[in-house]
Amino acid sequence: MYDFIKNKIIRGKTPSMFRLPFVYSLGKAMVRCNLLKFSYRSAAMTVEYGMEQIRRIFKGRSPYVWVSAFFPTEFLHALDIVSFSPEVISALITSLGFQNNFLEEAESRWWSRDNCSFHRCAMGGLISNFYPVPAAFCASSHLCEGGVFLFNNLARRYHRPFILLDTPLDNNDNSLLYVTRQLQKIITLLEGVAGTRLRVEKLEEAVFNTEKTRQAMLKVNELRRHPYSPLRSKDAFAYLYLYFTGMGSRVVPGIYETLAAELEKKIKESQNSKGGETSPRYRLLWMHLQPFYQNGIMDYLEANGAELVFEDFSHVYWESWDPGRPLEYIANRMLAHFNYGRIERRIKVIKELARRYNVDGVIHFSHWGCRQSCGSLNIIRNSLQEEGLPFLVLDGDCVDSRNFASGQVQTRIDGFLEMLA
Amino acid sequence: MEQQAVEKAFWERLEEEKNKLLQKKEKLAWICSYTPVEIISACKLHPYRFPGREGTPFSADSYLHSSLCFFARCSLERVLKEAGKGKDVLAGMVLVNSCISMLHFYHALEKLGCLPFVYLLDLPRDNSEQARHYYAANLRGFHQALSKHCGCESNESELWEQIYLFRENRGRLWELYAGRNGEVAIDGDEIMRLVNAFTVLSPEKFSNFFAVYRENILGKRKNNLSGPRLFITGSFVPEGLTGFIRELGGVLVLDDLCIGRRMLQFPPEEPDEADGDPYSYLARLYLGKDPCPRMQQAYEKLEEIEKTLKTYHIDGVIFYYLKFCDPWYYYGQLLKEKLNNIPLLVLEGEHAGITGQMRTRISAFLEMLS
Repeated sequence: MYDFIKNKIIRGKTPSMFRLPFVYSLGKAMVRCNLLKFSYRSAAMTVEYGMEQIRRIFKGRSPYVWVSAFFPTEFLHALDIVSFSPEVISALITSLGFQNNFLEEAESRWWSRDNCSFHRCAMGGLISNFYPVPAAFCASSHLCEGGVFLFNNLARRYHRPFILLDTPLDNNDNSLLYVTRQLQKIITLLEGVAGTRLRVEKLEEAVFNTEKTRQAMLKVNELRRHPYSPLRSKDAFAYLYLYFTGMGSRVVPGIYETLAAELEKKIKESQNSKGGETSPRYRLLWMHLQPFYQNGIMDYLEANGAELVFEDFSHVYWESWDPGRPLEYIANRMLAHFNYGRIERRIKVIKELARRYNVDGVIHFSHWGCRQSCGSLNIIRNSLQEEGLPFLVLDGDCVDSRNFASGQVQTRIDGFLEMLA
Repeated sequence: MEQQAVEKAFWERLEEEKNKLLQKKEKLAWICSYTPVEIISACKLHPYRFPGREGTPFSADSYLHSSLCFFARCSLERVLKEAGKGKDVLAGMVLVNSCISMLHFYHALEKLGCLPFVYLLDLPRDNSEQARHYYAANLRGFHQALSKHCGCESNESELWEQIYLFRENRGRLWELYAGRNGEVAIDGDEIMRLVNAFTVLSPEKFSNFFAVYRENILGKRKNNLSGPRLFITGSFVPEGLTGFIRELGGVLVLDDLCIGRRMLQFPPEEPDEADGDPYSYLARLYLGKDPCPRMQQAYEKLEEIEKTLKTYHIDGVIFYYLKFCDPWYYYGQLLKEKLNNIPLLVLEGEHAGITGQMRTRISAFLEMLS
């Protein structure tokens, strides 16, 4: 049904139908009635959650804000502000095949193709009035610097507040104090957006939800170590929306718990069946995101006996903390991100993941314009090679298919797999 | 004629002095205008603004991704080709985390281990009280780390001394920007050459040079410059770009460059040693200076830009940005829209000098304005 909608109804058509809240109510009903099929019940729950958020945005009755990757969404959930991740929505739009409408719109207004296409796509959607203008633009300087500049630009353009969490490089007492003080200021600004005061118990509840999510994610990640775990990176990216906007939501822990239960069940079934799934020839770790348009990379890898058993985006990077001290919890979570800051932290986590998931090699998908992720790849490559861990860089673009050379990618994959053999 | 010879001799002496620096071992290189040079000087090192190597960064591309800013890659190229091979000896380098490219440049330097000291100073993104508090602590940490490396004590009274010294030099240069809303006798290119001298010479040496400049050149300037009045803004402009504009008859009246005015435009707050903490003072100073687009408050300048251009009677604007420089790219996008009532020339560069295409476009722009 999903493919039918994607191929017959959406492709090549104007996407204006997606501005109607009714479409999302209908979509939710279809998910509930199993008219849209998913490999996992938890994936269906994720879609339902996302549709409800987007329905509320187009309905226009609740305040809604744009959030960049890793902004602390706990505040938004506690204040009942709808959060919208333009990056994830750009990915969704790409998977539906109408990203070029928005990319071209942005490019016609001097947005260069040297910039991140997630952002160009988001910008194109906003300037072409596809998305309603949000009440604020909330960014964290974690990882994505382009997002900070984009949101600041858009906030000026649309005369909306720009709410920034400036995340320091190092995790120390001075940084913790700096982040905590900023969080206090962010609360005041968001209260202005919501038109209501933040109740402490609501924030504590949101942080408690994050902690429950964390524990459920850890359980999922532990299960994914099992040789019979069927969850591959391709499917795991379906949960990206939760990772970006769901921290603090009361729905999200349940989705991850469901995923854990499903995985447990599937692993047991595989173990019990006589011809349980055979182990792949090569187990690989995927770094960064994947292209969201039709590309065939993952299928090609699978067809050649290589399975992407884990991806760095699913790594639970923050330690447990007392949810009764919500600001400290959030501040610690902000400062713990392994992909930000000094390169040793990132390399250490990649090595840890490689060991934990017993991988034969690592693939990094280099999204053109993502300077944070790609900048020091050669340093990472050298460090991994010192440990005898093969590392493949695939250059491409997650959203803009014009920057994707399938033949070249295929050749590089072939070479990599030959080397692993 | 005689005056021309005096001026020529002055600039030649300045160039000689800069060349002599290449073999000076006590130089601690820095790049970003948010670097607290006072701390470097207080540790008895020579703060030296590191120029990237203009051209193609062949060797640097083995370490840094090709989608990173050319300036960062060209700076690494210079480290590999010159600093690392004794052609431009360095005691180390301090980088400010002012953009993602600088962060990756730091990663490469640290991994390469080709400099005796490499330090990354984290810079907040605004001028709030909490940001100043955070930056002050970082400055203290930097002073301690550098003192430890140099084997000296991090001495606050020495730091205050350097604060006064640098403030005095900045003030001298800042005077050159005064009164530029009327007729100008000094071109922006000349000011930027002096600012460049301020960033590479020791503060004492610069004071001496500036005294000579003031007496022999500035004091004797009689004629005002004529030609289209220009405003230049953007990221690191290539060496010789401002001189080239002058050769073609343009007058650079005002700039918004970190190698120009933004190196000097600091808050007017007087240093007060009795007040105690030099790090808090430096944090207020640097975070309160005219911001670059990486800083959150930079966008507020856009509201004033049209007014500024009117005040300075600007005929045309040149906006130069480096390919892959996100801060300027996103800021420039709004700037371009704001400046729809004034001729604007947008140049994109790769830190490879002034290209033929650039020359043609600048010439055509100035012809149009003349």
